[in-house]
This record gives sequence, C-alpha cells and structure tokens, in this order.
Amino acid sequence: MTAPDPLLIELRDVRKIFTTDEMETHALGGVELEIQRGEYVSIEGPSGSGKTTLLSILGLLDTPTAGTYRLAGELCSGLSVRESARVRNRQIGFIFQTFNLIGDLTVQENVELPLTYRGMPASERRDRVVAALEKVGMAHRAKHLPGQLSGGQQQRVAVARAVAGSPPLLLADEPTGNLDSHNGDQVMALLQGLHQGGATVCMVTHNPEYARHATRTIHLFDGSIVDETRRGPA
Amino acid sequence: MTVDALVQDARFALRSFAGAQTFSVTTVALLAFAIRLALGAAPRDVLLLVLRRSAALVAIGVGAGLAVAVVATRVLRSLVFGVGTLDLEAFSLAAALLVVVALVASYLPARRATRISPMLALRGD
Ligand SMILES: Nc1ncnc2c1ncn2[C@@H]1O[C@H](COP(=O)(O)OP(=O)(O)OP(=O)(O)O)[C@@H](O)[C@H]1O
Ligand SMILES: [Mg+2]
Repeated sequence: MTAPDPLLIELRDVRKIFTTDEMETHALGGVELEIQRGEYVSIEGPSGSGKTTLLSILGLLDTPTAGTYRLAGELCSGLSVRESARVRNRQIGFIFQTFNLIGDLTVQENVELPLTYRGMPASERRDRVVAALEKVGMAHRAKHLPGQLSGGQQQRVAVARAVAGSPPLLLADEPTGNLDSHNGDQVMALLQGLHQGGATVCMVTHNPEYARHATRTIHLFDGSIVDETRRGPA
Repeated sequence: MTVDALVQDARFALRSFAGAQTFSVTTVALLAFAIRLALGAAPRDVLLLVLRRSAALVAIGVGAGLAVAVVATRVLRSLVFGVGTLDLEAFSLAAALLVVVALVASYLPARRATRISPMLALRGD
C-alpha cells in the first residue's frame, strides 16, 4: 500500500453566490486553500464572513458556484447527489453546534448510523461503536436516548458518531457554541486528542482560547481568507 | 436491510400509536432526514426508510385490526344467530388493500424527504 498523498484538501478559486429574489450574496469570493493531512485548522471571522459556507463546501453539504474542490485527490465538483453522499460517509465526520443526534434512536444507534450507510457487517459496526463510545467516555450510556443526556454528553456522543468510521477529515462548526465552558473544554480536549491521534480537523470557533489549540488559524472576512496564523506543534 | 433497522421501525410505529410522535412532516422529522443525508445516507436510503416506516405503521395497525375482528366475530356469533365464521378471505383482502394504499400514499412524501438539503443539518433553518 502506498502512503496517502499528504495533501488532503485543495480549494481553487472557490466562489459561492446565494441568489434570493433579485438579491445576490457573495458568501465566498475566490477562496484558495490547501490543508495537509494531520493539520488542525481553525476558521474565524465575523458573523456573515462565510465560515459556515466554507465548511459546508468542505463537507460536500453544498456545492460551490465556481471553482474546484479536491478531497483526498478526488475531484468533488460535479459529483452526483449519491456520489457526494458516499464521499461524505467515508471521508468526513461532522460535529454540529446543535449536536444533531437523532432523537428516536439510542446513543448506540446514533453512533452506528454512518456505518450502516457503508454496508459494514454488523459485528464490525458493533465493535466500532463500542470503541468510539469508549473513546469519548460514553459507553455506559449506550442504551439511552439523546433526550436523557446533558448537552455536553450529547456532543461527546456526536464526536463518537463522527469518528466511528475513522474518516480522514473531521469538520466542526462551533462545536462548543451550545455548551458551558466546562463541557466545552471537555469536547475541545476530545478534538485535541483526535488530532494528536492523526486526524485532520477543521473547526469554526469564536473562542480564541480554543482557536489556539489549532496548528493554523484562517481568518475570513467578507468571503475571503485575509490572514493566516500558523503555530508550531503544541 | 438489517434486523436492527426492522426493530427501529417497529419501535417507531409503536411510539407513533402511543402518541409519543406523529408521522407528520414536522421540523424534527425534516431535520432527522437532513442529518441522515449529511452522514452519508443516499436518497434511496431515505426513500426506503420512509416507506419501511409507513409499512411498519400499517402492519401493526392491520394486525391490531385483525385481532379485534377475530374477537368481535366470536362474540357476535355467540349472541346473534346466523353470523358466519371468520371470513378470512375478506379480511386478508381488506388488509392487503390497506397496505397497498398506505404505501402508495407514502411514496410522494418519501420522495420529498429524499430531496431535503443536508445543509439543514448545518444551518438548522
Ligand atoms: N441559503 C442562503 N441564502 C442566502 N444567503 C445566504 C444563505 N446562506 C448564507 N447566506 C449568506 O452568506 C453569507 C455567509 O454566511 P455564513 O453562514 O457562511 O456566515 P458565518 O461566517 O458562518 O456567520 P456566523 O458567524 O453568523 O455563523 C451571509 O451573508 C449569509 O447571509
Ligand atoms: Mg456560521
């Protein structure tokens, strides 16, 4: 097996224009971005600067109006709906601000969900679910419903769901935005641990303290990358 | 399809009957589909999910209905002269018809569910 290309993400002149009744919003204007495997990138910028839009394109939840996106060497522009679902499922783990666990599924079933869309055998799924829940310290709540958990616990389960399939890329949009500082710290410690374990993390955060965990911070303004801060390995 | 999925569908149907959740396309339901799509469900997975869950609802409803019919026939026969034995053929036909109607009726909402944008999971509006 050959080692994977160290370049994980490559955006070239990516633009995103939202058109709503005669109004055009240029949410992203010509973004150039490269992210290597193993980087921990934080994205910051004022409200409306395009952070969520950028993350949605990196996560194949939305498509750019123009420009190209390569993820793990695969050209993602022009993929069909089904193909982008496959790429999301295998390459990307999402952590949302609002946790987004499915309320009528147990913790265990939530973590298993992305694996079922891969057609993974049940025994392997079970092993991975247990391992992922243990990683975030939530194995003892496997049979609970999300509604029976605190916000911090729900977000830890969401982290387990994101990593259960070992995707190369983790994307998080303000993962601590709905948490108090204690629970926020716990979730950030998990992300830091995952990064140290080799994951590539790309996170939007308003918290400068948390942004310092990252090896690189990208500053967005008005849909463009206006500045970058790099830090040595922590 | 896995046994687990069947168990989840049955549980969903039972809770629906218990009134803990409704099958209407609520914001919560829309969000749940968007989350599944974001996690890598293909449109076909979502289509099958909705159809399966409708089928589970109908199956449990029909099962309960048949049980009531069996009991009612017995009771009636002991009270009224001339009521025939259980007309299995008619019951099965009615049940089958119900299942078909329900699946046809849920096909359009199911198709709509496949077209939800996974962006909903990220932006939540
Ligand atoms: N679906 C949409 N339709 C129209 N305009 C949109 C849509 N989504 C986003 N926008 C606009 O695109 C711009 C960038 O939005 P985005 O959500 O990426 O900002 P953000 O940096 O994540 O802001 P925040 O910090 O408030 O989350 C904003 O001007 C926003 O109003
Ligand atoms: Mg945002």
